[in-house]
Amino acid sequence: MLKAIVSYSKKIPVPDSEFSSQGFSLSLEAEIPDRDPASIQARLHETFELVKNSVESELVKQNSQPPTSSAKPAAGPEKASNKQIKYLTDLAQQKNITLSDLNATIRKQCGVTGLYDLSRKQCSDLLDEMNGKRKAA
Amino acid sequence: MSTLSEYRDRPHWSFSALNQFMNICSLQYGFQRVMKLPQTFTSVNLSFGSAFHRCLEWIQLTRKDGQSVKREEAAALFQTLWLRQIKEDRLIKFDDDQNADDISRQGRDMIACLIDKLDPTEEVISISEAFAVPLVDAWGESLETPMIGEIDTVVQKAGLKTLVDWKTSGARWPKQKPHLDLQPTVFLYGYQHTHGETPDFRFDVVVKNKTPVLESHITTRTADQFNRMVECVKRVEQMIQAEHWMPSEQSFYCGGCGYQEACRGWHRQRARTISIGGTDVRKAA
Repeated sequence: MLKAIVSYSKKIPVPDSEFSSQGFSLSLEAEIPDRDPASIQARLHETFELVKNSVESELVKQNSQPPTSSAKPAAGPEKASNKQIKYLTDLAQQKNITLSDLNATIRKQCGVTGLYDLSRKQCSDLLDEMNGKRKAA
Repeated sequence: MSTLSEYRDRPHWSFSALNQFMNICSLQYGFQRVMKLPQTFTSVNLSFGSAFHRCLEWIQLTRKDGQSVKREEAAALFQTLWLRQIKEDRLIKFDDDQNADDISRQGRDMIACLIDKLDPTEEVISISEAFAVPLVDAWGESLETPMIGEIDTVVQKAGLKTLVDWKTSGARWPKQKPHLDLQPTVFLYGYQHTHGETPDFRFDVVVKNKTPVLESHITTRTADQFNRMVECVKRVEQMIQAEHWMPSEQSFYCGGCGYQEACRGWHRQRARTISIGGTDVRKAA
């Protein structure tokens, strides 16, 4: 008996937040009869379709449902993701801004201690500013 | 500033994770942090260290508030914390010649020893200070996953700051250990990126002798050592991606490892991967 691990993942943008995405993934471990390659391939295809459709249908359900009362209450604005912060530090590096200068700007402009205390919105605004899309407030 | 538990909400590196992979056992890392297997027991040293650490936090908070610490009061607090810890931790594995009462007595003696050696001219600046900083290599390239940590305490004497980490140990430390240890590198790197300065780092080690002894080991780190640490993280990330788990067969840590059973059967559980039409299929061994 063969064992197959079939996974499907999908990333969708977070509404009203630049440089951000939410990932959804599902993995299914299934046993497949050890027969000819064609039937194995067919069984894999069938399993993959099942996994893919399950993710898509959960996404549709989630988008159509209002937030439930059991949802975790938001503890302040959502923090910037690691990807967003890496983009910010890489951009700073390209523009010859040292990390300590970047930290100083963050403290002065956003009132937070460090890069990983920035909210998504603050990080997004800083990225816009560094890209010349927006002037400092 | 966020707390350590808030920083833990994002994918991160920590000294304990890096040290576990590099210096303890990469297979233990895989079991605990990737496969997320439950541990079959908790090492007594881990439980003891947690209670000891909580007690020291209280001692430093008391000092920071400008009050003196009474050894009887601190020893009684340790006793309470230890009793709570053994209720909290599942299946603590004691050494053959030990029980909870012996350890409680030893802990109280160690706390008393530490209080006797406190330097009254030393000012406590901060306690349990969390940090999260990007890992940036020598060429200015940053990694996606940050390094996080929590500094036990920062003290100041004659205008000079020192980061202090509390340890308990079964034996005196070898002379070179503080200078080779990964923890000062990680914590000074974090402090440097947060505060723009690299002070000294001191391990305050209480040795579990019959009459406990306090040893203080001071060290520091250079920019080159920080760069070396970041290069190590890069290699470790590649090894984790490749599921490079290796048992550390004669390790000093095996006795206290809660994955001994999983480790013994690990080489029999491995699956092999074959590829059919571009899709990975794992064949059970």
